[in-house]
Amino acid sequence: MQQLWFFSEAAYPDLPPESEYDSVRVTMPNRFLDPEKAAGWWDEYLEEWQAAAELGIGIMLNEHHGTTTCMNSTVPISAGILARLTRHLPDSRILILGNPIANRRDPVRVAEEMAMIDVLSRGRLEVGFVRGVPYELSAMNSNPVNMTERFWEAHDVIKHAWTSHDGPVNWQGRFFEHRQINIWPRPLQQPHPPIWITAGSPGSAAKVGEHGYVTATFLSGFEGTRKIFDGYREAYERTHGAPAPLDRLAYAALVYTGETDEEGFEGARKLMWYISANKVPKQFANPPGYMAPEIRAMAMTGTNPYALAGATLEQLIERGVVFAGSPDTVAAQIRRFKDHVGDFGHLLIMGQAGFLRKDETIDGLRRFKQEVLPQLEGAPAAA
Amino acid sequence: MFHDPAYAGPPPAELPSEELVRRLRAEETTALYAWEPYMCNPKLRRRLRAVRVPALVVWGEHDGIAPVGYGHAYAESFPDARFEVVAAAGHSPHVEQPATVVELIERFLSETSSGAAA
Repeated sequence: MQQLWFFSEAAYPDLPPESEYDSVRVTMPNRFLDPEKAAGWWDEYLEEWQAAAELGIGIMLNEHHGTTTCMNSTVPISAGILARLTRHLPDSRILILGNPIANRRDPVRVAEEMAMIDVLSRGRLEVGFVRGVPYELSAMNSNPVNMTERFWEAHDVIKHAWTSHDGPVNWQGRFFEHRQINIWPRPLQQPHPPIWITAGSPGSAAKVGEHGYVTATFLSGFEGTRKIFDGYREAYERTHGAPAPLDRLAYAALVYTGETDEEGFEGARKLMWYISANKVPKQFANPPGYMAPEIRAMAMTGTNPYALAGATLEQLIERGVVFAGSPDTVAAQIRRFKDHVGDFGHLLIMGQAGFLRKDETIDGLRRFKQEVLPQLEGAPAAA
Repeated sequence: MFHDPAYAGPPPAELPSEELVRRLRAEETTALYAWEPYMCNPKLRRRLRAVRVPALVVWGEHDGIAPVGYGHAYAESFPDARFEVVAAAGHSPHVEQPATVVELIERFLSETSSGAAA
């Protein structure tokens, strides 16, 4: 069974000419954001997520800071809003992917936020944890050195807070100290909401597999995805003694389904704003300690085989970063992708970006649900 | 960092990989110890008023990390300090203009020692 999720970064696309700014992240002055326009975009984004839920597609949200590419700077707020907007849909799920817990000073506060949304949604929340992008570290005063260690200890504190029910408990760790942890409310789902953790390498995926959580990789294409999924599968089977179930693996791609191939490609070209507009500040892109020195050295001296900037739509489709076209074309692309990386249970549809408007976004989602999904699940496509 | 770009050395792509990795490891150490507060001690400035001896503060004219005005403010935080700006130098004037820096130190020591002796 293929679980679908609709993902939008809730961008602010009304940018000045590119020549007028150095970067869309960190240094772009927020005077370029018109709050009235931002409110209008948020109306569309919330309505798109609601429409996805009405179609039986899960809602996926993420969080970024100081960037035009994502106005979702506090994902507990938007998730809480959507929890109430979809309360009439008891089977609709809300995935936060994810909380940048290595950058958050107070993991107990993260535990509280997630528990509250789980209660507000009556147990429909899935909680993701991410390390976060390198650009946002300095603005959050988050030290990139020991970031992975700090991430996992924050994860431990959050689980400790979620699963302690007999009065206050303390935490004395390497990075965090906390007294009287006793969160009210506690999560509705027991022992806690399902946990997802993103992975960008086989090694990081392996750690997620050892825990048995869902792992997700974003825009990593054929080769990158296979390596990451294989890393997860090996670790999962080694730890749990059985092959990883399909619902432990998730892949995020830019996806647009049109009536025809040309309509699908046109929608995908609008989605490519996410890639083409991503003018990033070099000085924030590769901080010390975020990656191992050997990897940083490669990034500084060689070409990144996974770089997306400058690629054409056709190249991105060929690489498995974009799925676009008519329903039959999209289904064939996804089958080809799965033939290479192995089957996976969750498809995260990045179905809105840039100037792709609400009606176009929802039409694309509807066509995928009604005409692509049945093909993936082996049933004849809807007439 | 440097007024004269030649002091920065070759770009990373031209360094032997072992040397580049060694420098990046050193950057990690710097980040480990100096990320927060970022490359500074916020308590330092108010401690300077307790210094009971003359002080010399030397600053590169083209310091692009902590500009001259920053150094001047620190110098004024001492009860008795001399502030000297080194031309054609960036954040490390002792590297780019060592002779000038040595001359400034020697002159300072000579003048303050003779003043102390008097």
